[in-house]
Amino acid sequence: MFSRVLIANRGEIALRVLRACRALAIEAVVAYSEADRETLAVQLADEAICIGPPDARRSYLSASALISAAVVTGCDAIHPGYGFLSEDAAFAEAVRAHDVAFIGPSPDVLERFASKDATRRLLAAHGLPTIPGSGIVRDEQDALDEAQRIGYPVLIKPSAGGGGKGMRMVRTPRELETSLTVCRSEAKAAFGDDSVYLERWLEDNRHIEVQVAVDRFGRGVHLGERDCSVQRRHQKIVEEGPTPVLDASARRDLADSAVRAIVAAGYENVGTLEFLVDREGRAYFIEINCRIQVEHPVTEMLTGIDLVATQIRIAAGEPLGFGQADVTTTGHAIEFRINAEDPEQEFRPSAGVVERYIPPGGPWVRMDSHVYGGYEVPPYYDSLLGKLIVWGPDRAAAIARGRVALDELVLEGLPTNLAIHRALVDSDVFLEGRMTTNLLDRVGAAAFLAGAVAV
Amino acid sequence: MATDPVSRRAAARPPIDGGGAERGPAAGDAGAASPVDASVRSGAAQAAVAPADGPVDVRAEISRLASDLVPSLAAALVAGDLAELEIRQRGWRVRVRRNADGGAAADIDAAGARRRLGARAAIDRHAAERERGRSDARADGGESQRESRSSDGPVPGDAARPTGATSTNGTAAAGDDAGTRRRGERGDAFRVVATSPAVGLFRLGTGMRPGTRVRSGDVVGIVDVLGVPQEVTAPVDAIVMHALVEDDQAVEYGQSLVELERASGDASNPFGGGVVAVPIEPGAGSAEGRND
Repeated sequence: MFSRVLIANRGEIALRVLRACRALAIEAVVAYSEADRETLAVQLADEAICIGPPDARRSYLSASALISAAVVTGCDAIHPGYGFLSEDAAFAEAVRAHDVAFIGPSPDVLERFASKDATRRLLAAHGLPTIPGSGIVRDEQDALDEAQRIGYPVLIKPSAGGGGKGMRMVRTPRELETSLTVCRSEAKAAFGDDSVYLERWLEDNRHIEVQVAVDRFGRGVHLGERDCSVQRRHQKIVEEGPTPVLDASARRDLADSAVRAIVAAGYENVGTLEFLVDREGRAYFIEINCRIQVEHPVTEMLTGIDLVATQIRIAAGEPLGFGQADVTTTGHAIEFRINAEDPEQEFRPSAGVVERYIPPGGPWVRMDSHVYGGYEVPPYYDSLLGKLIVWGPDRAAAIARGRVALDELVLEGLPTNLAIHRALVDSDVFLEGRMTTNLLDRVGAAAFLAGAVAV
Repeated sequence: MATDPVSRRAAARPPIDGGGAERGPAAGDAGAASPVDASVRSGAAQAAVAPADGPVDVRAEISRLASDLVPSLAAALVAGDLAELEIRQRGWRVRVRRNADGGAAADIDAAGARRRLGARAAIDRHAAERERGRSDARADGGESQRESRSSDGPVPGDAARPTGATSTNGTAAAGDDAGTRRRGERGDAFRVVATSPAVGLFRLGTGMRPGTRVRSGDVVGIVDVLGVPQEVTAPVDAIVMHALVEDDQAVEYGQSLVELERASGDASNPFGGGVVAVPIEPGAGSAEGRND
């Protein structure tokens, strides 16, 4: 096991990793940018080291700054959190080259799953259904031919992308022609790679993902699924498990097929396979996340398994220590992402001082957040302020508990998206489990918030 | 450790008092200190803290103090064989102290510097509160807590004290009322530090020793980042005082590494010590002004 881990991230996930380190009796060194000096993880760390200015390219995205910080503070491992360099094979390789362990899949595994297109083909070969789509499109004519074959509407997706950036849905050949150039340049700007592919657009789909954990010895388990269909502009805002739209046997089949395919494809450590599920309940594999995810607490609440600790143990070379039969999911869990966003200004990210913060409490209520009264939210990074996670013996009980906790939560001083969560837990569409990934965008999040639309 | 904003700002500004030479060389020079700074301080984090009377008036005041008051204070200091003199006049506190070589000299500290320290106090307040379990803890607690946590970091104790402070034979120097740990950040306008460009291992530049004269931009040391040296440069023309960390010690981004004394005025002038002039704020007689 590691003795000292450098946490190469910020915000709530830095704190989450720090807590996992504490639980495993590992010392935690927090790497922070000048903008994060006041953050809670820095204050709680065994040691904290400033790695650069607020600009992430010179701090959290700087491989040399992070690795140097790990080396000079005597760390034997780096935890990359999520985002930033968490799935960067070159970073993982550079970390290893300095005799430091990367807490995540090994570099060759990251490399194998780096391209979405290649991953889809690889996992399709191992039995996972994928959305009918193209390979990387060569040129406009190729794109038009492929779209014809797949059937409109189609989604243009960047091969190197993530987080919904650079994606566009087109309904006609004419729209495809005009959008292709735009998508390519957006992909180039965002990911440094302008290759795109096409996928059939599924109307009214649900986003369901399977959590897996695979050790270095090829032993893997799934830890159930999460339904992340409440999204705004391709960003998840509420996640829950189990999904309300599949029955127990369909859920088990999906999870079993996912873990079988991913073990066969040589994956290691914790990861998430994302699927879109259409109105008829057919699941299509879309992509894999080779890291811990924001919504991992949902699974922790359902299974009682500490996913970050599991991730660290696997990276240290330990066997998983439990099998599929040992994993049971109980009850229902929901996570609400509390973001610094202004609902009155189209959910624009906000920054400022948290003047008052009172987290909710009570049984089966968990608040993962790095903020505190007086904390200043810097404007440089993502807008996640924290995650409220609740558990109940069934979905209705979890929602009821979530409603109480959301009412209890006080976070003042800057605009947040709390209102949309409060509206959600009182909306028929959420209560009846009818959310689809495009619903909020279709009706307009502001209109939904105002209760002005019947959905 | 953060870059010392006080020294860097003071150092980066041109002299504003053209008449300083015969009135004590550094008075005008150091008059570039902080009231002006405070008003132009940008960035989202802190509100501007311009003095109510405005920068122009402050400059005029500093100029007046330098020409009218400082020479007489310096004379009194020498005549009376005193280590330090302080007087309060029309909203200003002016402090003159003797240098190591027996001379006296001038720098003017002002409200902006103290306000920035106030901001720093706010930054460290939460750590301090946690440590002390009380809500009124101030900067000292936060600072010492931070330093104790960073085992590889420097502890700016005696070694980090500017010479002005160590020269007073036990007489309290300016800033000592705020605690020795913070002495180094107090804003002696002569004191300048070269800071770390990156995370790595520090090495003092060859030939760098106390008294070495360097020009702005000269390399005074390096930080080894995974085998790649990155230069630590002097921010202004200066004289090397000493390294604040030892060779091969781990340093973080922005950390103060080498202390320098700003080269200014005529080096042969006996007035090389310090004058500190601070606008007196209501109720701010002892503590650092908070930034809110």
